[in-house]
Amino acid sequence: MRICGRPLVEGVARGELLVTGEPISFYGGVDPETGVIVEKGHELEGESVAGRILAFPHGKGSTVGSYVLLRLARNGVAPAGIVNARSEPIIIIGCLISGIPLMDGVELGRLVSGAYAEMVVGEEDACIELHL
Amino acid sequence: MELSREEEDLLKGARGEAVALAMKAVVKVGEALGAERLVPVRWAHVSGISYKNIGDAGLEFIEGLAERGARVAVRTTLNPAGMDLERWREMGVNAGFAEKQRRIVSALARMGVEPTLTCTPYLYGVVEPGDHLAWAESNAVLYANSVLGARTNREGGPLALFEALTGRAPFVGLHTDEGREAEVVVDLGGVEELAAEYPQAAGYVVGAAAGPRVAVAEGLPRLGRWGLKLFLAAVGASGGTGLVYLPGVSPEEPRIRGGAERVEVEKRDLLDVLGRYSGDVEAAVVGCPHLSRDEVEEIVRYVGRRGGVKRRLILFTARAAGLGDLVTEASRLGVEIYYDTCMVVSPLVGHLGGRVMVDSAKAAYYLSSQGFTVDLVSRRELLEYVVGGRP
Repeated sequence: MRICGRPLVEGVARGELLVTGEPISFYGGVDPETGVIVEKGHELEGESVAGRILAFPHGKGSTVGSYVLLRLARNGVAPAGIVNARSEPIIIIGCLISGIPLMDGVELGRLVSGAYAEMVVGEEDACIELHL
Repeated sequence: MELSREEEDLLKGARGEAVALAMKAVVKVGEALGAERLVPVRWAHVSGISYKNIGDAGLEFIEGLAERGARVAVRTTLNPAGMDLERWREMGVNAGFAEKQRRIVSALARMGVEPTLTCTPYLYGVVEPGDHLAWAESNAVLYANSVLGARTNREGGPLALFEALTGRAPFVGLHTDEGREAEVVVDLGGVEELAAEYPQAAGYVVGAAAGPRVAVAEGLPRLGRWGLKLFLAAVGASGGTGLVYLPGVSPEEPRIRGGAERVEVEKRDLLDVLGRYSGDVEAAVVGCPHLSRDEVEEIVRYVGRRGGVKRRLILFTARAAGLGDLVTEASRLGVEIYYDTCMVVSPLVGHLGGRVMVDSAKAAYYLSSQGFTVDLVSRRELLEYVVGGRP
């Protein structure tokens, strides 16, 4: 299955999908050293974002979250790619300065956690291919 | 998005690769938010510079921009850092942290940023109604839009830095007339007296009611400049909005969208906020947002009339406040003053036993989310406590 959306930060990512219907606050919500989601009560609490293609509706919380994405990348535990329903500045800036491919405009209900996926974001288009 | 020729040139690297990256970031964000063009800004205010928050990755990123010759295109000021740049040892900050914090500030200074290290930039420069700004820091954004009639979104830390380097922001949201239409009217008419005594509690309730929407605060009592600061900081802590029209204060007539929601605030709402933040404390911390020089003077004079402090009182303000001899007088009375930082972004409260009295609902919100015990009171009650009046 192939799903296309809006390209935001160019690049190619391959990895296992990790999908949530809840917004993510990277600042305070994700451990910058390990990549583990630590927000209390979050659907993905305890899961690691490292090397996964992470899909969530949009970012929330402090704009310092952009720097948390950069810290994750520096520590080698960043997501391989990010898919949003609708990206906002925290995630866009974070992905851009960290070199994490980003696309939005995707209906998250069509994505399945655990599936292997390949995401290609170019200048003009962005698609994610699921291998179910 | 429609870009001018000059903007296209920046994107292609006319002012170096660092500014090209900044331009790319501003354009991407603008496109994502549906902006059709960019707008020149005359002042950027950058947040997210505490080493505690941005770590080695943030430090290296900012130093990298400076090394690649990035220079700001407009006046740019800085939010507080994680420590007083001179008296960090007294705050319990270790030498390794201090060194890295200083490197962050000096890299930004090399880019032409004024290291003001304050969350009240509006006290240190002139803003005219209608000016377009690129400010991060929610209390400053709310003050600029609501009290000064300027136009800025809640830009956020790194985005405001990119806007400083390019001198431009996406023309969207609070920069536009449509984006400044109120979608909710919050009526404080029934709680006027309580709101005058507790502007921070009133602000917290207004922010929670507004959420991300532009609001009108009707029936707000006359608060004066300092009460407004506490009110708006609280709005920014509990809500996502960047503009609350304050009839009689805001230079702009409120634009109210048809079918806007009406919310009537009751006494119970304000008392709930005060009740949520209460407990036994060991010290009082004031200056969220940073105190102005007048406020410091008023506090020091009050403490002087009452014969000095009986309990610890720590004030936070900007180095630019120019306290002069007030510092000597304060220290004679036992009042401690720090610059460049505050109770929320420095480790000081942890070293105070983690139990503090505050007059700021914003400080109460962020300190309690860090696991500290906070007692939220009015400034009058807080001062009474430190001179020994209230147990």
